[in-house]
Amino acid sequence: MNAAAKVLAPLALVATLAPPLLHALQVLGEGPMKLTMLVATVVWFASAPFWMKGGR
Amino acid sequence: MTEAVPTETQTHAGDEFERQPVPPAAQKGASSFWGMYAGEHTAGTEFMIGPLFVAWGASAFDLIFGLLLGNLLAVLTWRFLTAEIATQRRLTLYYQLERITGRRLVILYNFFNGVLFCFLAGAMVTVSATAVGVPFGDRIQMPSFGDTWPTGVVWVLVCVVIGAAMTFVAVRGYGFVARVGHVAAPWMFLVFVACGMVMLTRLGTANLFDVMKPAAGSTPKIGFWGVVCFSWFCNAAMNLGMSDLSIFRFARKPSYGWASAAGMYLGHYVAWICAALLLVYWVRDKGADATRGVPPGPMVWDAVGWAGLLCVIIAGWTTANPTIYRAGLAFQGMFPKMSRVAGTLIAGIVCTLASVFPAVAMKLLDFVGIYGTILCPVGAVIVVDHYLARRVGIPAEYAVRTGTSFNVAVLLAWAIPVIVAMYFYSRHGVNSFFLPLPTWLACGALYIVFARQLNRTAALAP
Repeated sequence: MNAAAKVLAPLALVATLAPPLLHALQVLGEGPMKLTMLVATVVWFASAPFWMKGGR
Repeated sequence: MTEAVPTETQTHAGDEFERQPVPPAAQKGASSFWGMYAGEHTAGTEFMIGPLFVAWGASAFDLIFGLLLGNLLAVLTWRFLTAEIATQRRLTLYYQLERITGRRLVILYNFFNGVLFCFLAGAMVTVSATAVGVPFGDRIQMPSFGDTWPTGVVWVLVCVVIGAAMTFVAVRGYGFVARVGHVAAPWMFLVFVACGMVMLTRLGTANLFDVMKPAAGSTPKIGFWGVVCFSWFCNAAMNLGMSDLSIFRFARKPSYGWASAAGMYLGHYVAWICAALLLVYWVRDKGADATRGVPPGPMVWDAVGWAGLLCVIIAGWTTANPTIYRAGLAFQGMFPKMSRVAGTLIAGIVCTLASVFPAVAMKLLDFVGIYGTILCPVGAVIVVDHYLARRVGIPAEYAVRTGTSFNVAVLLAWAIPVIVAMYFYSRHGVNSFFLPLPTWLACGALYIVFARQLNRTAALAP
């Protein structure tokens, strides 16, 4: 799980920021942009706790 | 912004080192401070502050350069005042204050601290409610910037449910929420950036100077120096007010004070400007009235959909919850026999009541200035005690020397400038974010005067 999280969590961050960028470049429509960001959110919260160590 | 920092009990579970200097073995490396500040200052209230700047007529120049300078001054304050004293003394604010003022005056400080924390947490619940309310559509009337009273029964119910849920979690302890906040921080920041990017795409330009202009014929309520002072003093209680002594006492070196830059330039610069763009778009393309504003929930929903709504809710939740917890600790500090659960419940109830009234959230720029004006002057007493006491001939750590539980000199030095500041705020309409610095300076000067007059006997003692 930790190994998968190491890949998925950074990808989720990329997938949070890339859609608005692609939308700005008119590569991605608004609907798919919002959907991708939602999926990225779910993936982030599922994987980040395993990826981010420590915290307060 | 406006998020209160964790107390010693939160950063260091188990009530350790509350009344003793932090030993070298318990000190922490720089990375924990950079991460903490980055997370703590990207909060739900950032969604309010950015649009409020727009509503007050700030221009792109004011925001871009005003925030740059104001945040730099805030970082320098943390670095060269707070972190310096914290790493030399390694005591909590409360204990250091107690050694100067005596226990009973710390109780008074705790009262103001607790009440203001409750209102701050209430503002965060209000912000979350604007997101939770989005799926209700027309059945809920969202508050605008001008609203001070509840906007309807559904609004009240949404706030009460969110407030109750947050209080319940805070009563159970802060650990889980602190963990969620830690995990959510990088994602939340990117959602802010995404909102900004989508807005610039819709506005058809990346040039902020083109789109961020006060409406023609309007008189801006805030300008360059207003933005500078707001961004410098929105956390005045934490830096000038020395509340973050409780944090930096764990730092190995005072240079860790630079870590505050992570919070200032990610949360109080990028996030504020991105949030401001949300209202700029609604004003320019959807015809919204800038002065009445649009609640954050609908704007973020429109920009990035469900991810945005979740961001508003999580950002509000992860900052309101520890704030309720801290308010509970402050109340508990006033009445040592009170349980933490009872203190947190009282704080949660006050917070929930405050959240129902949009006044605090919708006037957040004012509230944050008042919050700093009331709490930050005690930091001047600590600075005088630490750096100047011997030079100006007043006793350092007066309460420890004399065993007093109430240092009248501190009370007078604190109360007089605050009362004068509140007079200028309420009667002469001086913006509250201009008040913390003069209040702080006056408090420090008055403390020297009153301590020389009232505490002379202790000063003469060996």
